[in-house]
Amino acid sequence: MQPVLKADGVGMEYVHPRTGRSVLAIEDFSVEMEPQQFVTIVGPSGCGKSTFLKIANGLLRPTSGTVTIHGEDVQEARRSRGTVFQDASLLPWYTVLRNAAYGLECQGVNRKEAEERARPVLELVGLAGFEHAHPHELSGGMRQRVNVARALTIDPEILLMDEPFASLDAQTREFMQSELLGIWSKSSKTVLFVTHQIDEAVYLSDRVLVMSARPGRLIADITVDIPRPRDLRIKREARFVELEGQVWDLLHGPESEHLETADGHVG
Amino acid sequence: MTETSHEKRSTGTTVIDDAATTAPVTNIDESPKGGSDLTSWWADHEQKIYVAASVIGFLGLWEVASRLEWIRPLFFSSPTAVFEAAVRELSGADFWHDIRISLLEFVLGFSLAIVLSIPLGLMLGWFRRLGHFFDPWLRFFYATPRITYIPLLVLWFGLGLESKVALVFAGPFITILVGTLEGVRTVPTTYLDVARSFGAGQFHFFKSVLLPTTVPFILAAMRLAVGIGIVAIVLGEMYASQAGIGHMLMQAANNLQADRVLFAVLVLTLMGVGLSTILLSIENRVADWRPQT
Amino acid sequence: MSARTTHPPSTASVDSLGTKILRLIRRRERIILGVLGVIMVLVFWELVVVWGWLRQSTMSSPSIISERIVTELGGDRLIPSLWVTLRAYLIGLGIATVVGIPLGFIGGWYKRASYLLEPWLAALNATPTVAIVPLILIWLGIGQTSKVFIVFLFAVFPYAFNTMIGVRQSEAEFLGVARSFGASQSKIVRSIVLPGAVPYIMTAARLAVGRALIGVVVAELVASNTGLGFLISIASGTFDTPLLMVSVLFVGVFGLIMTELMKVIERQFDRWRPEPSS
Repeated sequence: MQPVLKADGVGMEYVHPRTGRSVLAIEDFSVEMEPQQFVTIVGPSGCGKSTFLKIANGLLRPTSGTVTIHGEDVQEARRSRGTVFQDASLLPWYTVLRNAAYGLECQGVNRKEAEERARPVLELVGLAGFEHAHPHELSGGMRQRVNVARALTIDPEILLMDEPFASLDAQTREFMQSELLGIWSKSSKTVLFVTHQIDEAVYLSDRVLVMSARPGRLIADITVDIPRPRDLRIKREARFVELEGQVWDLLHGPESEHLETADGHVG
Repeated sequence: MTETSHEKRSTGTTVIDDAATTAPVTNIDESPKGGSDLTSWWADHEQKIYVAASVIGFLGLWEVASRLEWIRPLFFSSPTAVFEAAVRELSGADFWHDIRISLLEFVLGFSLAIVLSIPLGLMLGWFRRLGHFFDPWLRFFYATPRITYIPLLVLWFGLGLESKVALVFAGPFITILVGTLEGVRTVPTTYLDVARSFGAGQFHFFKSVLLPTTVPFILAAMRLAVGIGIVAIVLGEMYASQAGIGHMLMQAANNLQADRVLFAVLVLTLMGVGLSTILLSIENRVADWRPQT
Repeated sequence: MSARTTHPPSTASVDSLGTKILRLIRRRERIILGVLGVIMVLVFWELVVVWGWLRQSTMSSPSIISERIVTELGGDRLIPSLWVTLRAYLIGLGIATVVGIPLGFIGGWYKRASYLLEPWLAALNATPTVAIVPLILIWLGIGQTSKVFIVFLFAVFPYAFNTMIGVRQSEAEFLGVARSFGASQSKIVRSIVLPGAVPYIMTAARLAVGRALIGVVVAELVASNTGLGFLISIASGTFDTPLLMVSVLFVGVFGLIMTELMKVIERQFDRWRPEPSS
């Protein structure tokens, strides 16, 4: 069966226009994702994981390699992925309902139909009753829910999430993690999640892809064999802590480091 | 990691590209070394080239149109004629006399306005009741274009220096007064709470909190007032005067000397810009400690 | 820092009239003080003239002015002048809105257009528009056309400039969202750029309304023989202080009405934008 997402030898190199210096952001990144899998890329800040997500989203063109979704290159097929950004970036002049419908509207669906399709999604994310509120009336966690709803409404084949809980306070963050698992199980989507928080990665995912510091390479592909549904309390259990430790070791181990000169040039 | 769907220009504002490019700055395998040099040079200097082309193009077209009489030189003049007029004026004595008068009137009126309006504004803002008392009048005078008072001031002060000074005084006075007043009124109550919780006396609070918070408002109002003052002085001189740049402007217009008119316009623009720049630099130096902007 | 005098709780089952009045006063303090201010200044003014401290010819007096208002309203020059001024004002302002906003949009959205337009807009913005009035006199002479054109010039720059800035300041993050969902350019403009520019356009409208008034008065003082401004200059020339004051009053009231109207409109648009806009 064809994997949902397939990245094949993806590389990303930036060339400074004036000095000609090159910076390698991602190096030879390959991964395959099966349907309804929850996969997280975890790595230190600046390692290129967000860049990879942008490539998977079709916003950036990789300098080498390809990314396909159900065999189709991501650059062509716009409709197949929904992105959840770190900042909810809800349009302040639209209601919650219209914001949730916005992704679909962007794809050409007329407003009425888009809002109709967004309604059940809002219910799914737990915001029923808030359809006519405005973003500035919502809390941070609620805005992120609208963010998720917006991505889910377009019924994507894969959901791309770029550190969506980074700007939330610790307690809300954990709560949203649990909520997200609930939403995910109900919507049965394939998710590619990016974060730098190890516990978040292990808690949420079926697979954790560990990425090294720049240039980002895949160091390990760890399967999280903790059974679902996962309560937040499993974070204290032995297996969880063990997996957490594994990831941590990988992130701080010798393979994750590279020689870099002060100006970022790979030496 | 740069997502370059926008480019930051040297003006400090983000300009949105009309072609939605989403590729990074350059792709290493797309263009050879030499090519990327040229394209990058163009990208850097594109804006300046367009601006220069636009300005030169316009001036050139204007000159040609004037020479070929596509437009009447008497009405529209031409860059060279304006330049010649400039040379003539700058070397003559009349111009300098006019400029001195205008600047004198402006400085006198503006300084008087500052000296009176700031303390008054502070007082009206501080003593809340007093401020409310005069609110309707202030709003009325603020909404009325100050130039409406020109004929009245001419009635009172005649055609000489005094009426112009009074006019330059009137506009900035109201503007800075209202600006100061608003500044005092918007002092966040949190500052008040902090001061009071430390048992600060009124005068100390005034000096350490109120004044610094209000200063940005005052400076902003002053910058606004400069524009208003210039309008006042130009119009005043145009309407009722025998000297000054505004008068020169009106005279040249009456004599259909478009070149002199344009020169005078240029001078006035430079005056306004110069004064604004001075105030802007003061504002920037004071604004260093401001949390916003 | 409004000192509140505390009243002992009323033991009577019905509050005395005095208490009721005091409570009303405290609540509407601002308005009451303002009204008091108007009345007291007017009374003071009247007394000052009656006592001879100020000559009637200088500033006239409230009583004379109010009498004059009645006379002129019944006459045949105040109302027509008002209409002339109003018409020129509204037409000039209207054209400025219709021309300025699209111009600003083009300058803000299209990179190349901004390169071409911006230097000129900036230069014209810096030029005191008053100074251009004599030029317009040369070109268009005296009359309604030049008056409307002058009003237009005064009002158009805030619109063009502010719209341009407002379009440019389109939040990058919103644009990123729209792009990631594959929105077309037109969709982006309609859903993000234009709504985002609205606060800037509102500010521009506020500025333009004021500047258009300045424009119409300037035009009528210098380049016209109709309208309120012209009435003012006539009154000045004939030392007719009461008429002068009446005309100034009408201009002022008009300005006040426009200012307050703009405030109300702006507040409407602030519904979804609780944060202050530039």
